Amino acid sequence: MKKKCIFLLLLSLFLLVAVFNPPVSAQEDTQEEELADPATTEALRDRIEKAVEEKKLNNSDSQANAKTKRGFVGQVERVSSEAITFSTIRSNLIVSIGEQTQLILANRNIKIEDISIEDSAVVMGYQEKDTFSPLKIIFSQRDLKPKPVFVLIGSLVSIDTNQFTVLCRKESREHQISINNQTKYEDITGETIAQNQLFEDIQIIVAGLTEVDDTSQEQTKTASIVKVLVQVD
Amino acid sequence: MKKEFLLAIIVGLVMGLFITYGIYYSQKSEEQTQITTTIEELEKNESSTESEVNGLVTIYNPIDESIIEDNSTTVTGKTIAEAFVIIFVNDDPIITQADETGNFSKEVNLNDLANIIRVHAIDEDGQDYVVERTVVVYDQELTEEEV
Repeated sequence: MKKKCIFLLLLSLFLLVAVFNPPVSAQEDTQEEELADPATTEALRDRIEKAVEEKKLNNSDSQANAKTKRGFVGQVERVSSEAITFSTIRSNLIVSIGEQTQLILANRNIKIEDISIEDSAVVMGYQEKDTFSPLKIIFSQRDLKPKPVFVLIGSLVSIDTNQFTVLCRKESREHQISINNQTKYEDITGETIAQNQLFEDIQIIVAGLTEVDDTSQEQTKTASIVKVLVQVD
Repeated sequence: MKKEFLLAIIVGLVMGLFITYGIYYSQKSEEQTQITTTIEELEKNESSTESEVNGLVTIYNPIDESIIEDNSTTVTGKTIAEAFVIIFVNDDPIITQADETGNFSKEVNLNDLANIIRVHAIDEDGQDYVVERTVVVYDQELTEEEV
């Protein structure tokens, strides 16, 4: 008799799993059913992809058809009679020099032969589709590239008049940071504070410039701003 | 005896219902996850066409390689909620903080002509993410003959 009961139990289980699975799905609302159906899922994905593609296409079309002002900063890498190659913060750009391109150095028009390698320049013109037409290139013998910078967050280990040591959270190691009379100090609210209001173990953010010694290759970090992450009285 | 049969059938039905619901629920979750991932990926692709994204920093303004006439602009963007944002305009840093939604906005002064803006967002672990923008300040007509 027990065997009969077990047999009936297993039979009921089998029948229910095999037969009732689709009707259970059908009891859910239409939206959920659509999501569960692989064909509908694929269709929905296609629709979304198509919409995004159309938007991308519209954006690129409107951008490509518009004539927009474009300006960038670069350093002269190569010069030929017809083009100048600039290295920018992103990549090298070759700019064709036409009759309409004005080359300026120290408020005077110059010729392409007057340009030196490593001169810095601000290049301005119009971008139309994939074509950039330079109209003005203002050269400077001063380096226009920004200096290397550093940003770190950590706790103050020690401080004296010329430098302080900070334990960096990212690397868990100490950094020596130089300070000078240009270094600014502020608290969490942005209020200016004095250097002597800093104390050991206080959490700080430091931002400044990194200089590398040409001969020793030693790096010196100089703080431009120190922000204390608490309110200081 | 009949009671035992009836009980066996009822127990079987209840267990079967549980198993069926389990199978259905796992299938639905899998499909839902796939859909959500696709939408997130597409949104990510879409937003990257409109603004520069680097790690966890998105800059809405200023537009890279733009030419503007004013010597100031507002740097706006989005990053990790309440992250500290350090904006270097050329070599000078300004420290601000993103709000609870990760948005930040800070007005900065620019030099004439060349300006490289570097936006660093630093998280609690000290990891920082950087986005760079070039902005040229020039208030004369590009076609105008000056000098």
